[in-house]
Amino acid sequence: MGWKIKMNSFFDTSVIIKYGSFDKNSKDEFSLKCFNYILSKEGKFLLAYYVEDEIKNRIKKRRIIFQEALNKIKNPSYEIEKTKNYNELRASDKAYLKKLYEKLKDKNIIDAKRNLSEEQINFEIRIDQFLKVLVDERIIKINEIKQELVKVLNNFVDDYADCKVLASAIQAQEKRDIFLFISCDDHFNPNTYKFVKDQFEIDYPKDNYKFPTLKNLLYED
Amino acid sequence: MANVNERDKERKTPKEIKQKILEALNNKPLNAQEISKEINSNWSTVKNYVDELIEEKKIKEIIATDKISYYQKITETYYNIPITQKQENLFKFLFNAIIQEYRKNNKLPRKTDLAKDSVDVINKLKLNLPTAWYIYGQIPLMIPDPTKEFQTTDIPPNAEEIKKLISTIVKINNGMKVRERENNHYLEHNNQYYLLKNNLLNKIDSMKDEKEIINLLTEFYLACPISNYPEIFDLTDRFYLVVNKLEKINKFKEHKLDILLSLDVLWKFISSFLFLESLSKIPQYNKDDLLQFNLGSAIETKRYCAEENISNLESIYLSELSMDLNLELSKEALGIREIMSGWDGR
Repeated sequence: MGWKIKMNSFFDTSVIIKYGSFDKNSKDEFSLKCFNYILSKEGKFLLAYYVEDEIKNRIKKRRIIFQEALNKIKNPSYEIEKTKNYNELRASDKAYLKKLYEKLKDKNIIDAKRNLSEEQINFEIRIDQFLKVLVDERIIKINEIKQELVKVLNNFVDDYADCKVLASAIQAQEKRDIFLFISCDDHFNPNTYKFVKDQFEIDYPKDNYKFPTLKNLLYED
Repeated sequence: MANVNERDKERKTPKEIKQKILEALNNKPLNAQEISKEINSNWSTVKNYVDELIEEKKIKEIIATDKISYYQKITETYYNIPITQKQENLFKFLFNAIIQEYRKNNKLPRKTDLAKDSVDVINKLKLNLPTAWYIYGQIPLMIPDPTKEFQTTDIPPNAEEIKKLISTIVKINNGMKVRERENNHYLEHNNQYYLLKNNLLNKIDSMKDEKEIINLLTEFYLACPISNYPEIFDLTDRFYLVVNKLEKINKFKEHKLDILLSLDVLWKFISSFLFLESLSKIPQYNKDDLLQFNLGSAIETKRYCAEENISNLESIYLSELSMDLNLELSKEALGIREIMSGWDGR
């Protein structure tokens, strides 16, 4: 008949973060992929409440990284290692903080703050646009995520947050046509995803869990 | 050692007992047991006098967080913060002398004049009177109401010196506008935070140069204390971000009044902390007591108002947001973006 079926998309947090990081002059190819995927929207965009919550938490964390770098630039004797904020960051976040500090430490503090803010504001506005304009449906409230499903997923997927995202997707999939699970995170690499899906079919045949179709932009040309 | 009953037999007059109760409440509110201990009298003896003092509106009963009744002296100070009788008399003398100086020229001082003149005299003569930094700068702790009569028979030994200085100060500041007076006061004390606040309010009000406003806002943000009061910093940060976002989506001018209102309530919250902080440096006050009995609920109300206004500004920004925007980064910001490119926030 020639009709192209427009599949709906369920987003993992990583895609939205990458989308927010897009700039037309940036060399980051994955942010470009996420940007292009989102802007060439086909079908409905589905967002789990848990993913929205994660996005907001990551934005907060990004603000903390910037703020702590700024505090150190503002006052070189600032004992960053003793702060609660700094100690709650992961080692990888601390590495980004250090790089930001090194880049900006010789700048005038007002310019440093303006540069950091411009980047942050731009990043946040793009994500706000996505949340406000592009999301069609918010699904699976956080308290509706089935803990037993999360627990089972945790047998195959190490990261607990990933399990909650995937559980939200699987629960949303129950009463819907198959949609795309869009990710840009190697935690959801095609091999792992297939393995989890296959294991579910073997271990829980009666539960009829339906998995969305993975589309991981990290592994696509 | 005399016990309580024996001391009661010393037969203090009712007036003496009431005076002792009031003196006991000079520094902070006390509960029944504490008053009793402080004035060396049995609680049942002083109970009637406490009730009488409540009737006379000289003290009031307050319930602290642990649901125990405390008795607080009613004073004419901000937030009913206690001052000694000596300080009250000296404040009255000072206010009265300033008002009289203005009356010589058939004028009445404005509240700002009375406050700033008092503070100038207190600072220059190092008078033992509590002052604190609040919304519009340093103020005397006793409310300077120019419409009130501040009569006192207690004349300080340096009365003439005080009057002479008042005369000089009033002459110097004659005809000065309130804003100018405030600004001079901030400059004199080199208080950059207050200067920035005033400058920012003026620039937003005139709304001539958005870039200049954003730069001033950045300076204001950078002047915000980060360590002592995280609540102040969090709200300042949110305000800074949302104003920048409104500017980025070209909706800054359109919502000038909402921005001004938010800054105003944010400043009221910030200055209530500055008030607490400056008072806590005076040896007669204890920060925890001030929070518990005088400022805690006021600060909380101001925090709530600031939070409400900033949330409102955030919802305005979201309602104005569309996809039709140019979000290209400057070269400098792109450098930051490149550093963050691998960050996924896990």
